[in-house]
Amino acid sequence: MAFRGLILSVRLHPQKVFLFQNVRSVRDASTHQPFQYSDLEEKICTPDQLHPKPETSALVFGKYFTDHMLEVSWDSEKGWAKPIISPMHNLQLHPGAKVLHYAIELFEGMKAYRGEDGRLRLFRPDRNMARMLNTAKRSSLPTFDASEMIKCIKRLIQIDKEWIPHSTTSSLYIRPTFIATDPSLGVASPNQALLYVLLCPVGPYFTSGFKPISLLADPQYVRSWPGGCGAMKMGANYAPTIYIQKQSELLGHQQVLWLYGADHQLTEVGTMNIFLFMVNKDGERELVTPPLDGLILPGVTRLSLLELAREWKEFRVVERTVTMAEVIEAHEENRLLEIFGAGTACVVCPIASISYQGRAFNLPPAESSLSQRFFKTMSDIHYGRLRHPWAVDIEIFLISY
Amino acid sequence: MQTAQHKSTCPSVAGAMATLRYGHTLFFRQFFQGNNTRLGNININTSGIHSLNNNVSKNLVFVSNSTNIFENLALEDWLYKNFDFEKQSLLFMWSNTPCVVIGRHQNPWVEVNLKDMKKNGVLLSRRNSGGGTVYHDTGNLNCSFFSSRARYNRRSNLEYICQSLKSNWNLDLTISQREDIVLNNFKVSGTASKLGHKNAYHHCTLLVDVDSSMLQKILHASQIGIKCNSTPSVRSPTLNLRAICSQISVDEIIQVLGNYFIKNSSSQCCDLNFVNPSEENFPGINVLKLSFSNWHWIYGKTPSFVVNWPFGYQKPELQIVVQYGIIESLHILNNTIDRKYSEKLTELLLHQKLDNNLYNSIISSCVFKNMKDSYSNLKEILLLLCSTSVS
Repeated sequence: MAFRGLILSVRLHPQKVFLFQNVRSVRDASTHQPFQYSDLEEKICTPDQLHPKPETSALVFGKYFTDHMLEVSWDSEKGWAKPIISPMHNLQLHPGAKVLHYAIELFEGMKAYRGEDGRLRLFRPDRNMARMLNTAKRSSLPTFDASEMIKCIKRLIQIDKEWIPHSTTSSLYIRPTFIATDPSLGVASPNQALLYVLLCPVGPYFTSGFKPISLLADPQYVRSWPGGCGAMKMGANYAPTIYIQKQSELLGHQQVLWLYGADHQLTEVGTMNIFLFMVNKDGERELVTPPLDGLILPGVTRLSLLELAREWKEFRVVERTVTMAEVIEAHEENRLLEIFGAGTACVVCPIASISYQGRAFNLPPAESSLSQRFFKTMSDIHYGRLRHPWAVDIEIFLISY
Repeated sequence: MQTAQHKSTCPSVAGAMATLRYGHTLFFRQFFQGNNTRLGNININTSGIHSLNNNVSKNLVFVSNSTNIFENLALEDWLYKNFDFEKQSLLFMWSNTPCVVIGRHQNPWVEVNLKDMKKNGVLLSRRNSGGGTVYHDTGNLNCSFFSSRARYNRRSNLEYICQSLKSNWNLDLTISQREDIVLNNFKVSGTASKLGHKNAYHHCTLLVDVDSSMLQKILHASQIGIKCNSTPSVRSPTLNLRAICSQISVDEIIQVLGNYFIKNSSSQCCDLNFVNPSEENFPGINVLKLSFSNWHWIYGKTPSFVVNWPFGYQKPELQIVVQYGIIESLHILNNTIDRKYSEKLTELLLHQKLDNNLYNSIISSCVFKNMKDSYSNLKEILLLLCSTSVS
């Protein structure tokens, strides 16, 4: 193991040789051979195990799962096992499994779409995999090869492809999950882990047109802080938000606007990134979103909207901190055009009002809305109406990342 | 090869597609594209038109363009799960390149010699209906009669076949007590069924011009000491229709049976539909093909069994218990095998799937090299057990 580590480091970076030699006594998970798509084993459902599909209109988010799942296990001695696609089944976990005690868990969320031309497309899976690897490192979980993982996911989707609704308002939600399974209570790096992927057919987020939402912005609730891991897609970040979400609903709102700091910076909306479209003090229109400074989850939708806007070159696109004071001022001066959330589930979610420190700030619905334009463009890319390299054909395995 | 029309060419389709259900009562995509396709005249919601038998409104005939057993089994299952047979019946006819089809609850290791099959390029498959093992080649015609559960009638289907063959080729066919079609005391057809809550099918083979010597060879399993509770096959002497009537062929029977079936309903549909079991035509069929051709269905579905070795002796030395196609446990009996070998043997075999990987492990293992020569038979039997392959 140490010899392999040495060779690896010499190939990568000569100065790092010393560093690798120093840490060779610690089993570095990344020195294990990553799992390969070519080793994939397929245990397909028997004909009687294939489940009937629900009506597209009955698709509640995350309630229905497809027939198969992908699993790859890892252990610190033997490294990665062979990936296997098998019928959807419950997991067997020792009650002492680290995931159950210390929340060593991370997940991803991305979608596949059945285009109008019948082709099946994945949206920017490379971005989700890069983010997943980053989160894995931070969670002390082993890393893997992103392109091999994408090939395995594509094969899983190909097998369950009939689960992708025949509809341009529905899609297939893909949930890669990574958990620490070793059965010991020590708060330490896991020696066993399990990587798996679930698929869910989902209906439209908004069943009948956009319904702008109302937010509760209360600075006493903090989702993410400097030096923390709010920028990582770890399950541990979500559990504490559910109670707060409930409080906001009790007060008549739909989502929480997460604020941070003494200056009440706007960070995120519910589980989405936030965008503001406004006219700045110099009279220029600008699209603003908080920067990736460690507090913000680097959303793939967020990145896509920024890249689209920069391509359009019609207004300024800025990643910077925004405070409630700035928002209130812009609102009072009628410079605030739109505020919307952005995420995989809904693409964009327009915001109608924000309740903050006892006041309600209402935003009038925009006539020619930027969020709707973003939605149309993204939707056209998803469903193949607009050919774009971001939408990757599932049945083409030749392209490597 | 049928090509699906691009649905955006038909303006009314877009709205229909947005609410399309992709479940059990699936509509063919082509249905929304008008009548210019082979399947365009199928309408699941036709109001009943009076017909000869039991108010069946429509009798349809499908003939498969594929001769791959897995594709055809998949299509049969797809039709069973996705069609509404409330107001229509369907005769589906299909043939396959050389293969063996075992019944739902059978043990392939007992029914056939897997090594022989591999050598002769004969595929092994398992069907969804019960009953015994059959050998297919393109000289055999399979007929699957689909109907609602209420209208299921095996004997009447078999009578259809007998009557239409009789009237065209003057063959003196009768139906035996076991519901086999018999000619001159020889079996020319085997039958099995699947009855569901709403739908049912009865399928049967028809030996027209099958390679009899290959059939005899393949359906002859060597005894390897297996004890099991799976459905046994009942072997009967068989005969090809061609042996009695030289003008008869599978293609001609397809036309005769198909037209006879359609004439017995007063539907407007009067064509035999030649279908390609593709994902485009039958959405969701690909996963069924994968399912029928997967090791876990063909071998893994075998009810538990025990292999006693040596076979024939009163006291076996070794007992292997197989469950789901995996060696679940090994029992060394009577202390005849040396401990060091029994431990190595256990390590080699325990919890392993009876598949090609185990085959290779056994070949490359030194355990047998060091054991007495009398154990070479054990090695042979183990290798035979591992000669499981798919497609």
